[in-house]
Amino acid sequence: MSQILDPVSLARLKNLELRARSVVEGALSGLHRSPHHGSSVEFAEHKEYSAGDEIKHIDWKAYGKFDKYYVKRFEEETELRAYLLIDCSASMGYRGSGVSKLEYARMLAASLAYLLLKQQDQVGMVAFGERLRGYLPPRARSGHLNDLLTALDGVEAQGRTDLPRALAYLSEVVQRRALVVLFSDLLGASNDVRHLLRGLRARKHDVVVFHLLDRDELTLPFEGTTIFESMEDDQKLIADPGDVRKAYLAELDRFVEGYRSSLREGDVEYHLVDTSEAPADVLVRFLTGAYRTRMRGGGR
Amino acid sequence: MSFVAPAYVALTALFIVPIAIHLIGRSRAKVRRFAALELLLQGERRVATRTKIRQWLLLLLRALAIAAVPLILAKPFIEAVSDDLPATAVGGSQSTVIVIDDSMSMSAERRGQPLVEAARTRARRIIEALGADSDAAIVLASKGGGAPVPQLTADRAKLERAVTDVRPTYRQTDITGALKRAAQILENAARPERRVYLLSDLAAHGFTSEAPWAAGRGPDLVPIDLTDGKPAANRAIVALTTEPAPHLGPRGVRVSVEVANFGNEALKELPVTLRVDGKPVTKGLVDVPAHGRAQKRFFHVFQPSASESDIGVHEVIAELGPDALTADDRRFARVEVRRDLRVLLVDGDPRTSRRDDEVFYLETALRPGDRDDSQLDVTTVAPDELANRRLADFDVVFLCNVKTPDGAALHDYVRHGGGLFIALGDNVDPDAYNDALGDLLPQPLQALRTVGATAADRDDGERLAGGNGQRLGRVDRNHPLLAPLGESHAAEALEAARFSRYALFRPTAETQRQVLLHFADGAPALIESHLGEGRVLLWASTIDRDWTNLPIQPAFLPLVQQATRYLARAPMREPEAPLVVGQHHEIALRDGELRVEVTQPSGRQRVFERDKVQGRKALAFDTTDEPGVYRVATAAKDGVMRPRRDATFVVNIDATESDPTPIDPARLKQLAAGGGAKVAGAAPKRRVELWHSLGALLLLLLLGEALLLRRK
Repeated sequence: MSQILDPVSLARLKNLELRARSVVEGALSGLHRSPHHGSSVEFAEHKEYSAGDEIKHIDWKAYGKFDKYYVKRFEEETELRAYLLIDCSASMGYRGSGVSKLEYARMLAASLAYLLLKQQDQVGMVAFGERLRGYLPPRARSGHLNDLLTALDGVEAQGRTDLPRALAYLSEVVQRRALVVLFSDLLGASNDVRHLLRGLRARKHDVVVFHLLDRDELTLPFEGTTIFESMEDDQKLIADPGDVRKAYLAELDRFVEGYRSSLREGDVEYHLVDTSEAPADVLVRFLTGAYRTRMRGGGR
Repeated sequence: MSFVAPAYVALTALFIVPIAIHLIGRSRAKVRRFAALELLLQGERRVATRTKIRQWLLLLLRALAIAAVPLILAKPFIEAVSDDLPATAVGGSQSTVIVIDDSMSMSAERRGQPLVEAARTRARRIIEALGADSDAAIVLASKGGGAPVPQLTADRAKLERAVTDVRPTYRQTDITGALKRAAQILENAARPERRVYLLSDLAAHGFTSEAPWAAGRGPDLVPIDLTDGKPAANRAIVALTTEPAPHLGPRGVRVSVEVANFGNEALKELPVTLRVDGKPVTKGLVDVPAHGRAQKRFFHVFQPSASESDIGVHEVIAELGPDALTADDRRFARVEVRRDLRVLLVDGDPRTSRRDDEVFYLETALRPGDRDDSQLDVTTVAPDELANRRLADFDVVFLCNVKTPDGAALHDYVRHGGGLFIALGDNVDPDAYNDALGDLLPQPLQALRTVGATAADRDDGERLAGGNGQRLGRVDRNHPLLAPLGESHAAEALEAARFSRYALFRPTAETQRQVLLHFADGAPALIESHLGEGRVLLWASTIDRDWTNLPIQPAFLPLVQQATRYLARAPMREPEAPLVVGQHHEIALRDGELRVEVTQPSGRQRVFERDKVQGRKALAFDTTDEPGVYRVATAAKDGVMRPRRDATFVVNIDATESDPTPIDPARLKQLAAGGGAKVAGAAPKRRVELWHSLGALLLLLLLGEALLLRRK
């Protein structure tokens, strides 16, 4: 499966929907079980009664305690709201021998959107760089996939990253509990990002981070004296990769491990993704991972 | 610092190549946009200092490695101040002869190595230190050592090879001879500066009183004392002699060992071991004063061995415990113990009066004074008893005036190796003898010639007086039987003998016979012939005084003794004096021997055959280059090698070599000044080659570079 659906082969499929479908079908054929758990009705929150509210939803026990009318509000489990956050900074445009990280993020996001919409869930999208590049509110209607894929196709890698700003925006937008999925290389992101992501989780949102890194970034395979230039500013470094490889890999390990441990502590699901991996494999890992467990445990 | 090939030095400028590559490499660095640059910068900051140092170090190592290669090819050297070469070691243009002492005394050990090794080392340094325009030759200072490089040459490799091939020998020192040869070589030298380096222990025994060159006309002599003026305290066995000890019987021998102490301290209870045929038989202690000598005597009785057929030759070795010079701690001798020869006298005219008996004079001559040590076991029988005797039990049979000898038995006896002496007399009838003995007679008898009064004519017993009768004429002094007579007064005594009657012989075509003695008229007096493996001697007169007065002449005793030994194939003369290393030796050959093998003490074999052996009486052997026992084996027509124990000989080192006393410095100075040239006053220097060290440095540089690259 992963050989057929490797990122380079998928990138050759021009239609993003086709790509997403390929990824999802590949993933599902390996999964055998659907993550859809059926519908149920679950209490969500109290609201002070106002004119027009259903009388049958007034919580009489609460009236007995507080001498005020409160109305119970419910939500259906099948109505999952998912926000796909796509990092579109210039660093996401890095392409080693395969596809760029942004390309990979697009494939993964499209696949996830396809999967969720197929289950009648609502999917929205936030594309950001230094500023917000695009926003599509969550919908579950049949034509929404096309809107999402068009929006994803339209994003380009450029400029710096301001992930805290994007997360702050999302906090404002998302009122109800939702699934927040971040696709980013986290390069150039400040330490606030970890706190913000943990904050989202603290507010009962399910937060998943796909940390995308190119194979070059994971191994620094270059030889010979090289002038390295930054993709987001004008920093440069002349070095022989052989001289700095060991130290770089140590820094990278510290960087990845910092995110992994911090996010896991905050119950945020973290996936380090090598963009040379097949997207279907990543999707399977996600669908069979912590998120699914939480779903089955009746967290909602 | 100087260079053998300075042209290569210019190529050291290539050291800039790695620097240039480094700079060009930086300018041509690939530009790569990289997303994780922040992490890369953080990593680089951590290793920046270390990386920079490593890079500079790498650059330096590469530059040095490239510069080292042409430097090695240029063969750099420096002239270092030397502590072991004299002031004249390094000079400009000069012709030099290096005299290396390779005599026995140079095998003495000093600081764990033989002196000759030190000589080789110094010789190499001299060759290294010679100026580029100089030439040299090499001469050895042992007697007969020769000159490995006899002509002046500038070929350093040839000179160094010759030095490497110098080995310590057992030969005597001949420094004077070597210096003469060196002077001859330098006579035709093209360079005005002529010099002789003498590498030796400078022991006085190596110099003769003769000057090697005329005063003021020779080359400069630079003596280098390898003992630094402190010769090792040597002790040695300087003599080993053996002589019969009659009181111990015929096989008793007295062995005298002379031990010399050349040291400054007396030696107390120095053990001396005596070995016979390789086995230690006794040990004695001897006190030797400082710079003195002492004798130790041993007595030994040799036991006959089963394998001894005729004579017993034994090897005797006296030895001391080892010291710095081990070669002279042993000395060798050869002892010949003969089995008694068994002689049968057949008395053809026995008398009651002993003086008138046919064999009286013969018996007396063979056993003078009835001495036990005559080594002859003489048995006398009458002719009719001969049939009862087993002839094979005797080495020699004398037929003395026997009327009718048993020709068949004697024929068989001689054919199987027996020795027969036939003496005539009144009982002999020529025709009957010819019939009875046939080809046993070297020449058939014809008649008797009477030239004076015989005993039978003189009833009053008057004996043949001098001046009457026939005398002996030519004597074949080359024959082994008669050769010893030529060295004594016996030869003159033979001329005094007179003969009143003697036999005349028929002419014969027999070529195997040889006339050893003639009468003055030319008639044969003593004829030899060979039959089978045996020998026959026919004496034309009587063995008593009936027809001749020879038995009362001084020549009679040695003549019959020699004849007996000759017929018994026993050695004709006493063993030769021990040889010293390098001396010529002659090995006596027997008839019919075609091949000779000489085995040296070290086991090396030398083979002689064809024209060196065939038809010769003796073999010249010159390879006496090591001390010890030399064994001889020969082969006749059948090609089977048989040991010749009688030809075994020993070689010893020259005892004078053991004396390490150095030459008088005043005399050495006189010799050194013989050239009359001024010795250069430059500081002593020697050439030190640096390319070996540079080669090692290059390897280290490459190793360092590999290690640095590996640590990336």
